Amino acid sequence: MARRLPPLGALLIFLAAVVAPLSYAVRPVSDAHRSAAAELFAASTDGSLGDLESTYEAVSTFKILGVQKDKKLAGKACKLATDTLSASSSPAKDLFHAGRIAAVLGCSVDAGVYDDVASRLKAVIKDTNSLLEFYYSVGGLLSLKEQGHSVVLSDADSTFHAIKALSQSDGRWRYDTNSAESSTFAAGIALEALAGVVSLSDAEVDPSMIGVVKNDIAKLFGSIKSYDDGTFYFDEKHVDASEYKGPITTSASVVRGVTSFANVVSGKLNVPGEKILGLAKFFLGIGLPGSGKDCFNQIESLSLLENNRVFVPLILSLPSNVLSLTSKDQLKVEVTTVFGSAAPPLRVNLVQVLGSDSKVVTTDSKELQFDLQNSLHYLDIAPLKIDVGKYSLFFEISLQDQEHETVYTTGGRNAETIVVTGLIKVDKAEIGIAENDAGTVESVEKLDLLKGTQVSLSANHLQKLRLSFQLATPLGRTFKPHQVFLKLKHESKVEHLFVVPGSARQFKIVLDFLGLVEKFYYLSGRYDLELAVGDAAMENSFILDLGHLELDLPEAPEKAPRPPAQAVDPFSKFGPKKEINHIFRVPEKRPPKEVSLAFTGVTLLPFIGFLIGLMRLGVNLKNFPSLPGPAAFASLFHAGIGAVLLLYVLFWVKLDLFTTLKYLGFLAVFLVFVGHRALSYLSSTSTKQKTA
Amino acid sequence: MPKAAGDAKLLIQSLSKAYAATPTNLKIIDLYVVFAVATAVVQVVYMGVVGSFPFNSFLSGVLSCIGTAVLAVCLRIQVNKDNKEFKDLAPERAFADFVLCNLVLHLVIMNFLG
Amino acid sequence: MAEPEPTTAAAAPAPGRLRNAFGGVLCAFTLLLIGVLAFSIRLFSVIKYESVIHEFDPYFNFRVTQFLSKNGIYEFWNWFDDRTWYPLGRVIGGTVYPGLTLTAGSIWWLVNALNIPLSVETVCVFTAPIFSANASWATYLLTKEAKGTGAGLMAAAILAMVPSYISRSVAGSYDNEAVAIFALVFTFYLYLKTLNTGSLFYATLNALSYFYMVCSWGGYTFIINLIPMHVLLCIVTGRYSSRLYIAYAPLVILGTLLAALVPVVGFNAVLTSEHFASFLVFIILHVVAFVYYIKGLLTPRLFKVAMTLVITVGLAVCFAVVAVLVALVASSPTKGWSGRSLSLLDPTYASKYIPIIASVSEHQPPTWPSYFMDINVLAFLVPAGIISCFLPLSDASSFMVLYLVTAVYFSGVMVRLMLVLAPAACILSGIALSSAFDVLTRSMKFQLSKVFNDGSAVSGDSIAEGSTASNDTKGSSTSTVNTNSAKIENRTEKSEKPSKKNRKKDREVTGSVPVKPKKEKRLSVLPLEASVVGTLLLIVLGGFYVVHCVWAAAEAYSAPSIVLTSRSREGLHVFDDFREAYAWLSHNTDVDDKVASWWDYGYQTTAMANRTVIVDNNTWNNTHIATVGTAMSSPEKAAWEIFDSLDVKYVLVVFGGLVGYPSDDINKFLWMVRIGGGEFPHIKEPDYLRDGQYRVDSQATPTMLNCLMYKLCYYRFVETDGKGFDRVRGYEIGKKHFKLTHFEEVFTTHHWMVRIYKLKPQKNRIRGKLKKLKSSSKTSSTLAAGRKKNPWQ
Repeated sequence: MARRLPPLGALLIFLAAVVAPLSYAVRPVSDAHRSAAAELFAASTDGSLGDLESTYEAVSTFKILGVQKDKKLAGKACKLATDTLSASSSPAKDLFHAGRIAAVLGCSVDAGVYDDVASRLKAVIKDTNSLLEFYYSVGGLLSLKEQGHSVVLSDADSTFHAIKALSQSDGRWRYDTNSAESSTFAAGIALEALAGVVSLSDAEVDPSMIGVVKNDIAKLFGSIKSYDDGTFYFDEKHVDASEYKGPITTSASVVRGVTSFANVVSGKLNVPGEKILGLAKFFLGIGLPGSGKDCFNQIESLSLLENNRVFVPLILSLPSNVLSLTSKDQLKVEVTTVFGSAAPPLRVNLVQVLGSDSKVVTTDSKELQFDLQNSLHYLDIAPLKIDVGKYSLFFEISLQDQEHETVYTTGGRNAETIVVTGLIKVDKAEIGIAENDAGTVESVEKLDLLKGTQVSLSANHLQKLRLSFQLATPLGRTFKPHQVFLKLKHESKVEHLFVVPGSARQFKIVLDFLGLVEKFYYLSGRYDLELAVGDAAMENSFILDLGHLELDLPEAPEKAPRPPAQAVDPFSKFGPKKEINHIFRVPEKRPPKEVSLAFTGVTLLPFIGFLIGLMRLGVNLKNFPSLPGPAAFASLFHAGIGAVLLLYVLFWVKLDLFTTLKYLGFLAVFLVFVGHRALSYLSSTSTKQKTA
Repeated sequence: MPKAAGDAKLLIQSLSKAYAATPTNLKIIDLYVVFAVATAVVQVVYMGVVGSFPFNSFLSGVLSCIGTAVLAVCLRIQVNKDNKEFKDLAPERAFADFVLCNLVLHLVIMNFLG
Repeated sequence: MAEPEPTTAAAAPAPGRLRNAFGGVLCAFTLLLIGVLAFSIRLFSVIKYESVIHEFDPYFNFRVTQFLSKNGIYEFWNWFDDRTWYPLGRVIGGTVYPGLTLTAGSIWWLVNALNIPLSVETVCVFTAPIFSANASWATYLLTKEAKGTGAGLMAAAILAMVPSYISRSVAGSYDNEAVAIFALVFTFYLYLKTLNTGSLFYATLNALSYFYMVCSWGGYTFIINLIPMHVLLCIVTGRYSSRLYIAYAPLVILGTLLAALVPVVGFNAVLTSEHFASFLVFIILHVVAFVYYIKGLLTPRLFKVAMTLVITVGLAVCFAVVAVLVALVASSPTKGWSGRSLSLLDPTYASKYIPIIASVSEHQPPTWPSYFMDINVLAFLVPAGIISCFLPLSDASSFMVLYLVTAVYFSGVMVRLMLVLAPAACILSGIALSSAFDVLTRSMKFQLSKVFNDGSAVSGDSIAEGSTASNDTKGSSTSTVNTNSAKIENRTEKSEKPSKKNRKKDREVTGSVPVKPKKEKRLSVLPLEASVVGTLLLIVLGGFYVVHCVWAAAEAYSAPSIVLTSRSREGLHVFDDFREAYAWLSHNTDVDDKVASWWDYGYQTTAMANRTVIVDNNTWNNTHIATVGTAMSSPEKAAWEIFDSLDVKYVLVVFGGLVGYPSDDINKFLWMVRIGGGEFPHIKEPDYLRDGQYRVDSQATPTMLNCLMYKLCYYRFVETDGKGFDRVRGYEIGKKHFKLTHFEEVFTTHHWMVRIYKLKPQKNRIRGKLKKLKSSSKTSSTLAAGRKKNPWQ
């Protein structure tokens, strides 16, 4: 109450955010997934779908969802696959993915290539002890087999043992013999590989081993984890950043492994049905995944769950979980497989209804009628005597014929959340001004909030504003909306929000202006009154302008808090900031070209003067040595000096300091030598002259 | 003022007379100095006219002239026959130093010229 | 006096030349020993601690050197460092004195080119000792120029171990001064050399070494002001000679140009008024030179006329130039003198106007004990040196005196300029000692040769021999000695008086060398006893000096304030908290995290933790530092906002209260308040003062107890001992139990010396609501304990 509440709009948004999760429900795979997949696996600019793995994920997802992609894309993918297959250097991993791509797209690859590939993969199987290698090669062979190419794994048993050797006591597996840590993800892979081995083997694999593996699977399901909404998922026991895959990938691999293993072995795995159902709910619960990989994992594992030999989960879902009392909606329920295909004949009972505060509304079981043409189970909610609000319904599904029990899993009780909305009756609304002693009410005006009558009141700081009204549900019960606000808005856009407290059905607020002058910043004048009543279950939520209130408050004393500056509109701070303009330093003013050139000329004048002066002085080179040797040295000396000056010019023009210094070093040595010779000759001659 | 004027004239005459006595090579150096200083003056005037924007260029221009002049003066001092202080210094040695100094100076100038 | 050998050779041809050769060898050998001494006396820090870079600035230099050796010179030249002064960054290439870095870099490059694999750090650690050896050799040359070999050797030996120089050049203190002192002395030597020989060659070298000095240290302005002063002195005292011209004029031109090549100096070399003195003197010198030239040309009578003319012209020119200079000062970017230089001229300037300058302890005026600590007995030998410089007064010796006087003044202004004083003091005391020994030993030889007429020789140890030998060659140079024997009399008296007061020189054994008594007869000599006693006393004093120097080198100046030790009953205790903290930062924080701390620790943080800092020891932006100071002295919330606006992730404080480490942030806090208050007036120093002093105990002001620095330092401090007793301040802290709302402690080192805090993330608007929801859901789903909410729903 003390701090100003954020603006009403923001609160409504927040309300929406809070309500959003309620409207969530598990729905089978729908077109939403198809479009999502279509954009998640959008082809890159060059028309390809990325590397082998992502390509495979894309094509298989499309195949499962039945999304039609243009032939060009498929052609590219096929080409990629065939190239990889025919390339003799590609490792098992690439062969694996390429083979699967070819299998999915039915690319035409000639048998020779496949023989070659098969032999290479077998070779890999022979001499590896790494689980992934096994997985890739076996999977590759399997994909070849799918394409009608006959592949036979001769020593299936040894391979089986080799893989089995990696299993751990707790049902998880190691990546290879000499890596200590084991992972659930690896377990899924291993199971899939084992399944592949079994299906590839020419002879029957030792059933005792199969039994052991079944045990492992049971143990693996012992380590399954669950969320509090009844969904199950697999995840690594202890997470290390390096190999961590995340729950989706891990669960997907386990599902893949278990289902494929169940498909190849005879007899049933003893895996509790509700865990399978939980897994299905988990994958559906992801909704529309954000990344292609997740999407692939989700869709593929769902498709595997759609028809597996363990249990086929049946999903109970509500087409809409918002029921309006005013329009007498029916409670509709549909029971489908994960992909939305029809379920076998079954019976759905509504067994319990819990109110929002988890108190039982009704417990008597009602059977829902079945509507054949659009395979819906429906029920009228009127007889349920349920009121507006949030409820969680519990359904029980029972299959009609027994032999389905072994095929399908329904998970018994299913909980669903619905919101029942309706019109709220608002009455006995009155607003008035009271003297400070709560006794004599001066002016009280009835007002019909639904029609919106305008009142105009006036009060001073010694009086109080009273506002009261009542809310009742269609069934005449008390109703407490999510938000009930009274807003006073001054001319100068300063607004104050008050939460209207509500007792049983009476909402009443009394504003004592004496205590509020500080809060009102001593702002006298006209205040607009606004009442907001809103709730998710309330079909007639309203923001109502009650009229205005003339308030006169005492003069503001010194250093009273100034009213805060009001933003023009509360969302302006999300608008674009004003552009930053950079300041560049202005270029120095340069003289006109002519002046500079002229002065260049002028600088030459002293030089000319210098030459003239030399003439007048009658300079001569008689001191220049006449003997050839010294003359050579002397000229070399001058040449050297000239060379150095030339080097300087070059330095100025293009060279950098270090190259210059390097050359300068050589020149200097030369110069010193030559110069010494020349000058010493000169000095000797001069001294000779002196002596002579 | 006639006396002062007379003195001045006398002074000028004797100066020129005395200067005429200086050997030719010194005169050459003097001429060289005058030339350098004149060039420096020209550049300063230029700076005065259009401002000293590429300050490093201006600086290096003027300083190279002044520097050469100063070095030349040093050379002149050293090779001056009747300067008692440098008896033991051969003029050729002085010239070598002069050349060295100039080369260093102009290396710096070039580097500073920008 | 500058060239003793020729005279001796003339005096005693055959033995003289032999002895010179012998003396030369001895001299070289002695110099070698001195170099070794200078190098080895600085290794205490490596031996006692480890081969590590020392306190603050060296770490920056080290980092720059690493960058240089990794990326090469051009990268280095335009290196923009974004790790410091966030968000401003700093142009390293343009704002450092590259001399030191380039030197070490080239040493490293050379050493590796010779296939000697040394790490950059090793090279940096040992740069300083190497250059102090060079410095002592340079000192030898310089003193030799002034007073001859003996004085040179003595001065070199003294400088090799003068404490104030050791304090800046122990192994590991990798700072500009380390090479700058060598450059300084060497420049002076070349100046004097040029002055004595008048050769352009030396003038060029002089300019180059001046260039090196400019590269190395901001103190080059001392040179460019001292030399003009000396020139002016020579002119005024009528000692002008054309050698002076040759020594000075080229230096100004070349030096200015070269200085302008150094980026950090740039156009300041001609624009700021620290350099104007040299130009002024340059002009004056030309006028004077011209006058002398004219004088040479003219007869005295005409010269009078010319004089008036030239003088007027010259004066006119001078005034014109002065006017120009004044105009330049007015227009120059720094308005003439920069703050540090101003605080040189007016010692109270900095503390009055620039708290940052005042806040650096080495910018404070020194105390008398620090004089004794740093130059010890030299302080008393110097006067004697001055006196002996005056007889006879040469250009060189006058330069010495001038150098000493100015250095004394500057050292009186800033502690760190003791460093400039040290060489001067060493040189002059070297001169004093050598002349004292000169007299004493000569008189002794004379007496001895009278006692036993066969004075056959015992040669003492190397230095003694070197010095005495050259000394008495000087002494026995007949002409000089005869003429001023009288002076020698009272000079010895003067330098005796100090020696009576018990002062002297190091390892010296009197040795007598065969000489011809006839020369000595004409000398006035001291009584044997007096000279023997004097010598012995001097030796004793030298012993003290050496002991003091070694003690200073070993104990006082070798601590690399990055690793601390304390002796206690159970032996040596090592505090390595700083490196611990920096290592933590570099391993546990993101590479781009910004770390805020008081600027002292900026260089170390960037160098050792490689994290971006807000301010560092290169205090070029007062406002930025003031911002941090304000944050440190504001209450928590305000501080959080400031730091958050600076994008700071971690705050680092240094706290000595637990182990009694005195120079911690609480003791530096007053500077944070002052600097912060200087820029942001809402920080008022009186709010933190209780009866005029900073205190954090129960009488501390509430502002103090609520400011961030207090909270960060003393958070959870009471948990160490029951009552929160601060060992540095020596009382219990005022507020013991409090919580941090906007910061959380992430790391505290072993001895609590460094504490690192993390800014808590910004509070979310609706977090309170969410918390309520969560708690309610938890209570409702207690039956379903241990089950997780499905994140996808």
